Amino acid sequence: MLITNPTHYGLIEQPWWGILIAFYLFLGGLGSMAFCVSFLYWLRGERKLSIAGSVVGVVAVLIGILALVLDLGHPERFYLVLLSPNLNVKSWIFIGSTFLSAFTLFAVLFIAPQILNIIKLNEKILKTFGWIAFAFGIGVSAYTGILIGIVFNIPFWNAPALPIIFMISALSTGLATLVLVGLALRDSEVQKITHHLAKYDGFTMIFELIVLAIYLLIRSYGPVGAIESVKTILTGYLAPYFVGGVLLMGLAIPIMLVFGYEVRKEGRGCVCVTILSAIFVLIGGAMLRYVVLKAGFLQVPCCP
Amino acid sequence: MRYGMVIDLNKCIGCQSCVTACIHENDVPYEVGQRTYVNYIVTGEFPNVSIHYMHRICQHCENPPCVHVCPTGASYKREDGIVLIDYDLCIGCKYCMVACPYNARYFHPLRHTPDKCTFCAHRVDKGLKPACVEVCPTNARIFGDLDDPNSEVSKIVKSGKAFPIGAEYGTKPSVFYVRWE
Repeated sequence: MLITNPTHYGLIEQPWWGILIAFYLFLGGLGSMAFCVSFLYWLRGERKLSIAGSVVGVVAVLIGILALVLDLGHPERFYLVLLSPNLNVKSWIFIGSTFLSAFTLFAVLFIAPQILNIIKLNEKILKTFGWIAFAFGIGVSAYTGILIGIVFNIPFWNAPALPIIFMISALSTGLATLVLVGLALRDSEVQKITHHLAKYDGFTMIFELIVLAIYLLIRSYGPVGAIESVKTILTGYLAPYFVGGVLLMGLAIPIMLVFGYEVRKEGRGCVCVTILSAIFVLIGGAMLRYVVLKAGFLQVPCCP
Repeated sequence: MRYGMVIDLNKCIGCQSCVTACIHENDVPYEVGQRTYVNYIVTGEFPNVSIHYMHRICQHCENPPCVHVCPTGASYKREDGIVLIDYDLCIGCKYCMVACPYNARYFHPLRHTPDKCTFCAHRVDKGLKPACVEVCPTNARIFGDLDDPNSEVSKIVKSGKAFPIGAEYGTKPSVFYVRWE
């Protein structure tokens, strides 16, 4: 006999990955992209902002790694992800840990000689370290979406657009961080760059909004688990976080502030508006990770 | 050699003996999670109501997602097809719990690692049957070697009466169910 009601599947909201992982996904993306953009400015000869920005980026990634380790059931065994005797090199946690370690290592090698005047390295070696850290930084921001994207029984995550959204959001939050860092430096030269960064962030956010809308539209047609997820974040209990936190606070308001004020005033407007929009972008980026993790519904087959 | 299980849902009377035997045999913290469940499915409207039972257990997939995602190799598949967890290698990242389409794992509160059905590997190695199979009063759970054409499980599977669940995920489960008639 075929039972059509109750349904042939079970939907369970995944309870395992919560706020610490969301915090890492946010900081990992933010930190790696803040470093990568800083490095591009470093190549153009802008040293003050780029060194401060890359330090902030690496520190953010390190805090993120700490959150990851604290989320483990056995935090004291964290080294096993890279040194286990039965290492599974195909696991995305292993690949990601490799990216994170290599990124941190080369980013520190790139920054340390510039701020500690102990060893003098020539420009060429610094540049090589910088490029390697840049490549792994791209890897760090890309892998987070892949990590949860390969989970095929959670259809909301199992979408090719998700890693792209995470990458764009990483770039946007990285730029917002650099805007804040640039303003904190209180330098008129840097001030001009922060104006450009805020503008680039505006374009990034518009792109993010478009990709996010298409992603939600496609996921709202199915499978059932994904429909449930979209419902939960648009009208369910996660709506305040997603509609209020991500869409309004994290995207719509900063876009309006950037294009309605920052760009029109050509960077000569009130600094507090720029600061406010950057902070909103950061809150929105963190909320996005939290909402996506929380809204992951496992689609469990229940009847033969 | 590939150990498998057939669960005949027609024979199940819902007595929960298998669940109890499993908890006793494997010292399962049943208030937090179980290695196997017998769920009740009620259909129809009063007075024409019927109840069915559905068993949930680790499917010991031939193509196990939990093993593919595990970074340290703590989740592994034995030669005989049983999927196990090496509790000393596990770091507790919970990736396997997220990746398992059957929601077969729970987080062990004392061990701080995921835990799941082992097909009672410690009993199987001694030539015994898993505790749940041993204790079932109606022989609803049948255990055996799927590669051996003369075993009871492979005969039932070959007859086309038993089906896997979640076959669309491509996990090739070793647990088969005989549908309700």
